[in-house]
Amino acid sequence: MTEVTLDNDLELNVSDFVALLNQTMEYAYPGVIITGELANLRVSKNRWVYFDLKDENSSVKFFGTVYQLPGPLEDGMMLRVRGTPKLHNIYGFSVTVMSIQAAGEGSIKRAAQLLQAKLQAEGLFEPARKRRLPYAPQRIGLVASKQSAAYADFMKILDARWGGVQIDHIDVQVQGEPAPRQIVAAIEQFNGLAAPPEVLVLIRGGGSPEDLAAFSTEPVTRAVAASRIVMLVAIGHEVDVCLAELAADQRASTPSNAAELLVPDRRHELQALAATTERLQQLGQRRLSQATEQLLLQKQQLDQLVQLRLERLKSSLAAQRGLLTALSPAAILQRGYAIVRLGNQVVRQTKQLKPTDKVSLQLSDGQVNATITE
Amino acid sequence: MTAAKKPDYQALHAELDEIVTALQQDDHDVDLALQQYARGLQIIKQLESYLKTAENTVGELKATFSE
Repeated sequence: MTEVTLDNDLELNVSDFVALLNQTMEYAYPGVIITGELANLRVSKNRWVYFDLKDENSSVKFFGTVYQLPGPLEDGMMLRVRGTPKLHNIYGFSVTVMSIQAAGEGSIKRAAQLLQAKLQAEGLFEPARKRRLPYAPQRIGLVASKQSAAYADFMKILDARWGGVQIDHIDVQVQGEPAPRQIVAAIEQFNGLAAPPEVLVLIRGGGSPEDLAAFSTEPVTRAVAASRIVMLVAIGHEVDVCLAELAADQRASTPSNAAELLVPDRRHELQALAATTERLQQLGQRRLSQATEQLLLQKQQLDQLVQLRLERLKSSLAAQRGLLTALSPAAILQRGYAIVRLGNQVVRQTKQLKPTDKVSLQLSDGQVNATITE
Repeated sequence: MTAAKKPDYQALHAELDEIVTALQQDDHDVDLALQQYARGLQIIKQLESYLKTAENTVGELKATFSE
């Protein structure tokens, strides 16, 4: 029940006051971002989170859920919290949390350390989990901001080094509050494809620790670790190491380095091909020369064999001729033998002869006649 | 979104490596060696052409996250 008093002050009952104040705050401050030091952090039933943000002079209560935590937190850290101010009808004023980020280099590092220890204990960074990158993949999934220098550098180096690659790109914000959610969604979208790319690349250029903070959040780190597609992550410069990089199958020092790790340099390949051409020609030439030499050798062997055979034949013929000569009757007569004939018969035994028989003796140079006397 | 069918660089390169290895064997059949030599030069030509002319293509996937 609202009554207007004479001096225009509102007079309300408690519930109406709470409702009016909430309405007014919702209209005036649909969302506020408050930065302050974390105090009195408390988690209830593993679900509800209560904490205060404070500075030298003030302290404000916050209420949210564990799903909104960027990772493990501890009192004393600086946080940047987005939320809506609300007056609860029983518990009083608090800011209902929409998102929480660590703020300031020290707190971001500390938050990352706490999260790293937690995820390390779970084994997300184990070397044994790392898979080998495909070399010269035909299809790459790319999660990056299209407007970023990292995207331009990656594409430039990829184009300079190699060709024929299909790059499927999902444009995401790489800093600020929406970044972790968008990056996780993009990784999950690629992983959900019926025909996923051979490798998934997550890149971002250099920046302040706040700029790079999205890549050390728990959701992004877990999404990278859970990817069934091999993941290559390159965030910032060489010195910047984010948790997403530790969870990746491979880390590249820069987005340009990521492109270098994925594909060979076509100039080197062309040089190697030129060397292979030369080698191939040498091998072809060598094989022909070998075949020619082999043929020549075989011809020589054949010639030698024929020659040898001829020599043997000649030698055999000479031996036969010698034997024939040695066995001829003329050669026997030459040695001093004589053929004795009685009439036309050759006399082989003495009993064929008697005294007074006239015989002819054939000698090597002619014939003489003789008479048997006894 | 499907990637267009491109010459398979890796497969061709593997075939080339096999040819070079085969040609290094001295007792390789001469007829086969000459055929492989010709095939090797053909592959090299294809690979060089790929390296000189193939271009990368970018496809934008529609993001399914809500702002």
